[in-house]
Amino acid sequence: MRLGLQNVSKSFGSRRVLDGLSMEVPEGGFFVLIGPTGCGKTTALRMADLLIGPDSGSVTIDGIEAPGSGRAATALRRRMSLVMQRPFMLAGSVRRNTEYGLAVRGLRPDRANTEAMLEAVGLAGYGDREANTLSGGELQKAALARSLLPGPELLLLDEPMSSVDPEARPGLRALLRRLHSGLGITIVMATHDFTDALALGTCGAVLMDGRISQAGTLDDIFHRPATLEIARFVGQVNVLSAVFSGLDASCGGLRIRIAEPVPVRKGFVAIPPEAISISLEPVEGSQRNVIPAVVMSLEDTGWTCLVELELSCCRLTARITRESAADLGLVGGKSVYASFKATQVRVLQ
Amino acid sequence: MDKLAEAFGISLRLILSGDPTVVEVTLRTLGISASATLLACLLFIPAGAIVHFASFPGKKILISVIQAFYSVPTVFVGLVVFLLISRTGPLGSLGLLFTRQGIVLAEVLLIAPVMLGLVISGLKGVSADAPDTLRTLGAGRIQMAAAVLREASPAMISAVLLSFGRAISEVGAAMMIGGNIAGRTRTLTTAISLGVGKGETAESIALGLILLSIALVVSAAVHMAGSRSR
Repeated sequence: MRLGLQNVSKSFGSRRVLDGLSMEVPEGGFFVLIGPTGCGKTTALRMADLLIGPDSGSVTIDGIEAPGSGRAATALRRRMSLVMQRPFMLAGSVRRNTEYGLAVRGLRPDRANTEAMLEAVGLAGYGDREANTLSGGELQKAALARSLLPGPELLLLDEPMSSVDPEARPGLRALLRRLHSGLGITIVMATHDFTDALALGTCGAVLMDGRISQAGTLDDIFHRPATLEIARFVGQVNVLSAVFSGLDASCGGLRIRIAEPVPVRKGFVAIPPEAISISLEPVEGSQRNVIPAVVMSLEDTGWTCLVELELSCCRLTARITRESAADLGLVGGKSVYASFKATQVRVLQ
Repeated sequence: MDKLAEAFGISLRLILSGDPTVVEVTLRTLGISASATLLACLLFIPAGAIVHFASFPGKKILISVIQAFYSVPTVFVGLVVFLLISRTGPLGSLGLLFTRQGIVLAEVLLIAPVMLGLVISGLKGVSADAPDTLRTLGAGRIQMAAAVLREASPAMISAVLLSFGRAISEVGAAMMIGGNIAGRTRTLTTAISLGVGKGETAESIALGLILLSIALVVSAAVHMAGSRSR
């Protein structure tokens, strides 16, 4: 199933949640809608599921404009499924919940199929459990099984990892990957977590302030963010606007050496915190950027320390071991040298 | 005091021996109240669901008005129904005055605000995510409303039982509309009222004990339904 949102806008009261959003989800794709909390992701998914209509613009399914309400909308909605961020479970067993979608379609549930679906999502033997006794992760899985059992052509997932423990996330990601490749259904997943997006998506879009800021492959979004905000949002740290000239990137008053010339004049550079070394004396090396800095603050994160450094025109964050921080006697206000290799500078075009 | 104890003894004998008059009035009262409650369920559970699920201007005001009518005096409802069904009233041609059907109509109107209000607040108690979740699973509007009503079933049971309790304990409208005609429209409450007026204390106490028993059973059932909902 192909999904399209064309120039849709939606306001709730005086708050404009979607502002001319357009996106196309290809059939069989795993489309990730990425954006910070409150940017309109849930509204976009609810609109795609025809739960709400746009104030302007249109929603298309397989290229045909979808009806806003009525029986035709219900019939169309039965070809897709939306898993909410906080799944609501009906009173009763997990099985009753899982088979609800079949019941409303007038289909007779097959117990073996239900059990197989529960097993597929990692809830084997949970059929008789009271649904409201499930943990957050189990609820997400049960909601997923419930949505998948009627065989939707399009699966909409709203922050499916939000209530899942960090240890359980890789398992759920693997499950979603398996379901996508095994069932071949089109998936749209809204998330604010770029790790989930990169791990699962085949394509996606960044939603900011109710409109798409950038769309394309996730590789493009991550490595070639269109704006500084997107670069920061997708997890790039130490991102600086740059004007390129040969192997030099001029970032305000700072000149940073890069490994290879780039074909554009303007862009961004990002320096991973792990790539930055701190020393008390300048470090020699032709391919190395060595910049005087002042320690602003230290944050102990367990095995490592995050050190905030003030340079002449900007701030950078470095991640070093606790031992290194202790050896160097780092304290706020101490003058040091930050150094990083030209090959470790990421160029975001 | 001795006279009261004697009357109490006679009343117990009337109940235990299955006195035909007591049984007849009790059964009629149960029939009228059950009919009114059933009719109110058919009308006001769907109506409450419509008010809950629909979005329209003035919804909050409507709900406030419904709640304000919780304590409407029964005599006032009786008066309104009387004016409606009296020979010169707009529904006079139906011949409902001094009939059991007339009392049922009055009791339906009497319990309408209670049932509507409790249905609406019961549905409000179900998770706000429920309607959209059910619709995204493929439920049509009626299927969705039915599932949400089922989720609120303990609150719905409370609403029905409380409405029944209000109907069975009603006296003003039953007296005004039914006319307290022996063998036709006399109910437990109107019979008690008449018995006290005529000095037939024993029969009134017997009927009062039956009414009290019914009220206690309904109250216990409401409590149990409430416990289940928690």
